[in-house]
Amino acid sequence: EETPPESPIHLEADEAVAHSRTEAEAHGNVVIQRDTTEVRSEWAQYNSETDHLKAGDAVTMTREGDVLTGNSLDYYINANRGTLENPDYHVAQGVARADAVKLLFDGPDRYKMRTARFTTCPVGRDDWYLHASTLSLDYANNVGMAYNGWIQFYGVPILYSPWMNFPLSGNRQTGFLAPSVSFDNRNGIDLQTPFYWNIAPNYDATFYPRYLADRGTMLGAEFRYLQPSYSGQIRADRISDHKDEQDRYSIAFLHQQQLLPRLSMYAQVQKVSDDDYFNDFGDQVAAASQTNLPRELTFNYAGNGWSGLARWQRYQTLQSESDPVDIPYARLPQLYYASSPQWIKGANISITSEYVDFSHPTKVDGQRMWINPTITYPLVQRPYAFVKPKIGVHASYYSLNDSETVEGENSSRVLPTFSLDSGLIFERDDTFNGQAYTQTLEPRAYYVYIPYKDQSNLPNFDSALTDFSLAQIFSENRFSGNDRINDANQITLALTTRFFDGDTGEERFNATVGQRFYFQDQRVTLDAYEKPSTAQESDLLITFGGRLWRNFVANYALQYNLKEQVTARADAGIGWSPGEGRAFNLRYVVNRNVSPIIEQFDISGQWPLTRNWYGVARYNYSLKDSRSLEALAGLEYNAGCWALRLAAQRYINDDSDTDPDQEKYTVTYFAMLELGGLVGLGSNPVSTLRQSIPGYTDMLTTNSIR
Amino acid sequence: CGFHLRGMGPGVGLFPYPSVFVAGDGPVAAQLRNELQQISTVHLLPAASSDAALIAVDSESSERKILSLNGNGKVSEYRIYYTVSYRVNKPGNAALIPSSSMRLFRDYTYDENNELGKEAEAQMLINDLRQDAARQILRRVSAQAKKNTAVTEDAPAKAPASMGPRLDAY
Amino acid sequence: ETADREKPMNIEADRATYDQKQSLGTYTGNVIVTQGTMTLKSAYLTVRQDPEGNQFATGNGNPVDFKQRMDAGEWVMAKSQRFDYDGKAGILKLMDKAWVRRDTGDEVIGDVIIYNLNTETYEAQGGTSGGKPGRVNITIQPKKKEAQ
Repeated sequence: EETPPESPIHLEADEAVAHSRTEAEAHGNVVIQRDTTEVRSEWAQYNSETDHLKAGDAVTMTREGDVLTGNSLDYYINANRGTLENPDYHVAQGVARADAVKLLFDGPDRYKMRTARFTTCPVGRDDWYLHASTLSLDYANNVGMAYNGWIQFYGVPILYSPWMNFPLSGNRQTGFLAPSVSFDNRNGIDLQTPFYWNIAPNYDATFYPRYLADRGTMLGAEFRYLQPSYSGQIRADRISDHKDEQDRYSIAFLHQQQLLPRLSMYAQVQKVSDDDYFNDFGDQVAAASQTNLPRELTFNYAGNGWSGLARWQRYQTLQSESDPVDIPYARLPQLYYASSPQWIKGANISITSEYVDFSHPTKVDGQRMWINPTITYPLVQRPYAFVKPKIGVHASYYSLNDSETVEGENSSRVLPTFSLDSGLIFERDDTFNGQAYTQTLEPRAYYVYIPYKDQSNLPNFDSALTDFSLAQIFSENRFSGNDRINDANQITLALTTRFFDGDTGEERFNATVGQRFYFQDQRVTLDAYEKPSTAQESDLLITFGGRLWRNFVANYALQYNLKEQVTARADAGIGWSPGEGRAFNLRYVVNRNVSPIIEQFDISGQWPLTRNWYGVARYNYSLKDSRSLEALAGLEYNAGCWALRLAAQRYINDDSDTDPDQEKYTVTYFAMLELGGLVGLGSNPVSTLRQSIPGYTDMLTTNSIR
Repeated sequence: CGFHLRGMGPGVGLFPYPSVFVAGDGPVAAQLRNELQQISTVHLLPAASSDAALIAVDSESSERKILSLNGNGKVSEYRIYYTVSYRVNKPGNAALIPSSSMRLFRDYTYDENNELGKEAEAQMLINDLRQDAARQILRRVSAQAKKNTAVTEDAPAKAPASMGPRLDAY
Repeated sequence: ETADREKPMNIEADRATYDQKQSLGTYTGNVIVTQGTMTLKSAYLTVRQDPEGNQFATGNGNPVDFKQRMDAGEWVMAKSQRFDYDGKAGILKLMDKAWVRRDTGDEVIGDVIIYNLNTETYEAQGGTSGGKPGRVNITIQPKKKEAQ
């Protein structure tokens, strides 16, 4: 492109001589300036015809904040080309520095240094250096490139690579990412050297060669695409595992697309070769949560006032010997419609309906249709009171397929539903040690009437007993899904108090006590063999929670069985995060509603130990199994221009190939050395720490080079 | 002990402004429209207008995190976080509530043997979170407006405090 | 131009005296010298002519003002408190707050500037007036490259 108009050169010196019209020579504290480039030297020669500057003996050049010193400069100013002998280079804001035998100016904002040394440590600290036969810093494309470079850490060479690149600022460049090394008892040494390929602004890919000492080499690749109307990613990993002597692979595909302004599509496929795949190769989160791998295609349509969904979904279920998993029904397809027509001003009308074709390898399957129109009309809607009756009808029709034993039958169920929600709101303004607040007192009564209908002959495709919670005691049906609709003649009474910040009006804290009273037995059960409940009252529910003061949060929930004087569920937790890098969490939970019963306490935190050392830890102990479910400890050191993270994590896993009596633990060690903005070596535990320690902040973010 | 029926003391009703526009196409915005539409004294506008209040739900997102594991290393409890960032303008586009966000959560036990049922329960909790978020936003609007009117109201002579429930205005 | 020296020199001044024996003219008060494209203004001027007809002039002013067109066509302006002009060698020596400027924008400022009118080269020193080392300041305009 046409070069910008050149600007004049200003030269200042003790004395100057012009040999010709175009050649000037200056001596004595010479200062030469053009735009943002300034050169200081003892002597200088400048030819204005060729724009060629020579300067010598001790040269200092500053350019957009960069400072380069050397002992002889040969430079074409406007073309930004030339050389500087044994340069010493300091990046703007002194974030990085380098020295070399020779520096070549290679166009605007690009330097190439021969036999160079580079670091982001300040002058006087030689903690680490990246040595390279050629080091190129290209700020135009913000990539640094080191050819046959090796890293020296406190004098010890720790990495050699024929070719290494690193980002000079923000976005990533094609090249090797930080290699990660970890060690665990499943695979021994686990070395990953990901390679990032920035194909185009909206396509990129990452390759994951991964060497596992006990199992061999795994090859993985992930391709991502991002377009205005669609985006997605596909990832595949494969290994011929010589410990289990079989080929093992995993595939994960995700795609979302806006087909029309109102029609969007979402597709997802996850598949692994065997049940233990995540136990052997995944991290703790993957191993714990990936049991039912979804495969689905979903279309969403957003009309005005209504929305529709069409979904084809099935799961790959990873079985475990210790306790076999019940495979979820496949829904091929599921069609769902929801609308809230505004037929009556002030009334809230909702019409939802669904058709699903369920299929299952073993259990009874077939088609189910239901429609559930409801209308809520607020009789009273005042700031101090509300009375809101809601009436509806839930009509469903089943057409079951034949199974070997029983011939498929059709059945239907039509149930009227009625509920009346009412409450008062009392309020007072007050101050507590100088802080103004508003407190409310909200008594609430919620009556539900649904007649009984025998549903024991109906299959259970997607219903489950929801947890006893505030959300449940103020809803009509305590079963989720649509296969079980509880008969009800019950009233829920509750008293809630809330505290609002006087200035901002934000809800700071609330507490509720509530209980449900049954006027008749609850005869509908999830499975036919369960006995109907004859309880006349539910457990007592007490919850409170919120921000007690500025950075201290507490939550408590208690589900107490008054008749048997037994705690069914108790969950108490506090979170204290007084500042950056400071967090402390404590939680105790006992839940006898589920089997196996949960009773565990969990303590986790991050705390600065000394000026630059941070400690992180988590200990999650299961009192019922009387052993720890997760123990994690880590140290993080921020040395300013480099950072070190060490972490060890031991978590329970359900790995079938460890022999049954032995404790099934996975122990992983992380070691991560981050050389300020340059490259990180070792596996990065940050994502694990963020999952395990609420309030964890990464205190070691090293800034980019320029 | 100082409690009085809400809205009886100096202050405003369920929603302090006669007309409002809710900006945002997420479910919390829809829930806000739904709630406002049920208040007879409020006119819900189909489009923004400078002499109406504006509630803008800038972003909302839900995130599921593992809360605890069971003895087999499988998930036993999930915690769903719902984060909403919103801002509110008084009629005339003056800011009533600057851009702020709230983060609510609900916990539920997970059972891999009942994937579909638990997915439905999670959806129920997300709907509950959305209603809670909408309620808190509306609550904050009336609290903030009440604080502002209380400030401006002191200047002129105080209106006669009504004793019983007034049937007209609210 | 170099041809100026063949041109007649015209000097105006408030007072003028002429010493026949040394063929030395001395002029004081609003001295204006014109010779071809060269004009020079100063407060005091002495002009001497050698037998071959080369002129040598010295003078001072507050400031002395000099202007001449070069063979290549650009104009050169100069100012200083004192000056020596050697017609034979074509050297103009400007002393004390000397300043030379070409109409192309190139500029030289210094304590002493020795300007060669034939080769258009110069020497500039910061000098040590007042004990402090003075500085030379040069501005070089980028050369308009012929269409590349």
